[in-house]
Amino acid sequence: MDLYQIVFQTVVVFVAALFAPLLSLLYFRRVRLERPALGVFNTRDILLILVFILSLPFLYLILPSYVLTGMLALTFSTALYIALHPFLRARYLWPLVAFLIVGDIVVTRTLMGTTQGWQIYWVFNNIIVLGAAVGISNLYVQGGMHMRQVAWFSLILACYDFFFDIVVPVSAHLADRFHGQPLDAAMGWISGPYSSNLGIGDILVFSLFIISAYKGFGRRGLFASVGVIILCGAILPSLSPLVILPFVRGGIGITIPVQTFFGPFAVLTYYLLRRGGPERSMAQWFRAEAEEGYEPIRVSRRRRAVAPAAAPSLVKAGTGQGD
Amino acid sequence: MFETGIRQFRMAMAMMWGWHIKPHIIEHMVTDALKTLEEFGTAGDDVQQLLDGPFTDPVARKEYQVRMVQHTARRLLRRSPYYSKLFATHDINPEKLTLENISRIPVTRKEDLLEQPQDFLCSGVQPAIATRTTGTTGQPAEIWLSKYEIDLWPALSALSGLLRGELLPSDRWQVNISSRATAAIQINATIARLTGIRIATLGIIPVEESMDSLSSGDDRSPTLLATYSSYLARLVKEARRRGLSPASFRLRRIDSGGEVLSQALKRATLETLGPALVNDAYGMTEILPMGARICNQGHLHHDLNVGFVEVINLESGQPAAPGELGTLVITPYYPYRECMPIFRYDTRDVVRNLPDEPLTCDLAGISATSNILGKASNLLRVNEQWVTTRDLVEVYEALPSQPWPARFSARAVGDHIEMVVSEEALDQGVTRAQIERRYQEVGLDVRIIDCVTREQDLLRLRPLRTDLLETTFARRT
Repeated sequence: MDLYQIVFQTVVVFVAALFAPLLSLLYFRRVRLERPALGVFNTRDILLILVFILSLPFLYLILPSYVLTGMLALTFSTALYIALHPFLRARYLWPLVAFLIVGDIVVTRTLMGTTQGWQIYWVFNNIIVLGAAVGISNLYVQGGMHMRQVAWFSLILACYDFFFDIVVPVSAHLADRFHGQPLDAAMGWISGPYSSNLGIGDILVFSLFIISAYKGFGRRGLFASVGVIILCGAILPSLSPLVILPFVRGGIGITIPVQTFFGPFAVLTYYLLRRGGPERSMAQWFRAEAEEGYEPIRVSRRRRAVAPAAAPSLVKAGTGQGD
Repeated sequence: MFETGIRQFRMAMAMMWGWHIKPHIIEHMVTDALKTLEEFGTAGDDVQQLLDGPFTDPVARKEYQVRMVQHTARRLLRRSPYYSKLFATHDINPEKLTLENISRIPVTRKEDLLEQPQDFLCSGVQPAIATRTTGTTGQPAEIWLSKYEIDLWPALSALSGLLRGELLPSDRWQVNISSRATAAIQINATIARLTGIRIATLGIIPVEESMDSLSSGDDRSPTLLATYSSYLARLVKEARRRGLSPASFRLRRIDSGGEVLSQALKRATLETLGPALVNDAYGMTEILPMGARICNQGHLHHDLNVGFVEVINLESGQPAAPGELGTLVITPYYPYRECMPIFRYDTRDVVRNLPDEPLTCDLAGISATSNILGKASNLLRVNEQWVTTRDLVEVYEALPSQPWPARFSARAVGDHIEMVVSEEALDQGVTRAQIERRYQEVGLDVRIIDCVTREQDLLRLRPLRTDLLETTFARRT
């Protein structure tokens, strides 16, 4: 294994693994997303996402290229809408989303083959994936997802990654399928002969982990989660090809099951943090933020033409005027 | 969250199209609401839309009302012996009903319910529980409810109560309403079960016992109280007699209904019992689960999700003009009423139609009337003008003698009103002349012709729900 490739890979993964989660955290502290009238993110929701995540790669492998691109365009447009909605009006938001998505597709079709072309491709791709990770991670945690759920979610993905990397190497085929395709679900970079990227699933889990740890346990949770991500999400996986040969695929590239390294430590970190006190709810977190003087700079809320009018409650049934 | 979204969608569809609502879906939504409140402290951003539907838009509201009136009438034609006969007699085609021609259908009166109650029972529905009106305006009417109704109503109430912040899982609820109001008792108890609130249904027991419970002074003291206005008046007096102040109570909200609640009594309640809110609610056994509530400007806003509300002229029976007095005529929609539904039920509760201009209150998006002014049977006609029970009660309860609850009888004689008052009205040195002058100040020519002192004579005055006393042995010596 080329040492420069290892160093390059470590730097790229390190940046991707920390930049997106920290940006998500900043967003979490300063932006309130609209949430539905009722509902808290629960274990059934996670199971649903897991089914989606576990089945999606197989769809990706069998779907025609244009269908795959269409699905990704729809997914990323929605995610970008969620992230940008608090900042931009629809008249600016949708053209921007269209520019990013179409730009990525056009660059993929026209500029690939040169390093500069690849770099432009990654610029588009990184912005799209970054926006999606920030939006979705905030949607989940602001929707009530707890660190306990994130940690166990990561552990299940760890098993999945391990199985499909080592036992049935689907991940490698998936990486090949995405390679050079429009809207690659990863953040990455290319420099000369070196290329590396980190999948959106890993970025999303890291973002969820940092936000939920900070929300649930404050600064203690933040430092613990950043430390675990650096060590188990960036450094260990990047260095693993030095010692674990199965990840190396005959010099044509490597796929590393990042969650396999990260998942167990995520669960361990959660239970260690729990020993210091229970995980805070969103309501407790709101109170703590208010006490510290933090207020959201943007609040996502739909505009309504008419002031809402509350219909009467039925609680008083039977105490009315009539008889 | 995903499941909750599905439930909300199913509920919204059922409400919009008048489909049968599965009560267990609403019960699950109550659980969702509890979890949401536990996690976030408040409901989410779309809560008003969930509660009110899209009815702040007048066009959407009218479309909904026409659809639901037709839907309800279609079912009554098929299932209700009384209404199938009525519709046939008046050649009513439910498909052609509109809000403009609905007045072709004669109103249903309490007498109709009393005369032929069996004809109001719908076919194919199993009656499960009967509830009676309390009978303070005459012979009690009996309303039968199905299991579906007694499951659905409290679930809807619990959901709206939680989402509006009227109910908190930490609340303790004292209910002082007549134990014969079985529907209300059943609903309140089920609401408490669904929300985890502790409830004490005491009934109309001696006021001293209720006050003992209200002012127990520890964290078991009630935070919510539901009662009739006349019983509330007696509670306020009892609290003052004991020298209690707001610090003696933990009440955060009082729901008072069933009778006219005067401004003087409302102020006294706030000063003495110290709740943040005294809610002058409107409901009625016959029209359940319809209800209405008062906004910050004193209008009565009706629940348009659940039924259709009309105000008809006292004499002509045609829609009342803006600013005119009329009685409330209410049609609860199917699927909210299933077993013994009513259509265009004349409540005989008198309101004044508001002037035809935009509302500026905190519930401005929803149509409203004035607050309830009294029963039509108690209206007095003097000098070509109507005098309502509220006109008389507001002045009476604002007297310095604080004669709460207002016990009097009144009748129109020529160009003036003759009143018999209770001895309490003349406490604190208040004279008959002073009372008459108070009424003159608001343009009413009232003459006090007698003052009642003996307890048995008091019962000859206007009936009050607080007189539906349920005796106990608690204070027997």
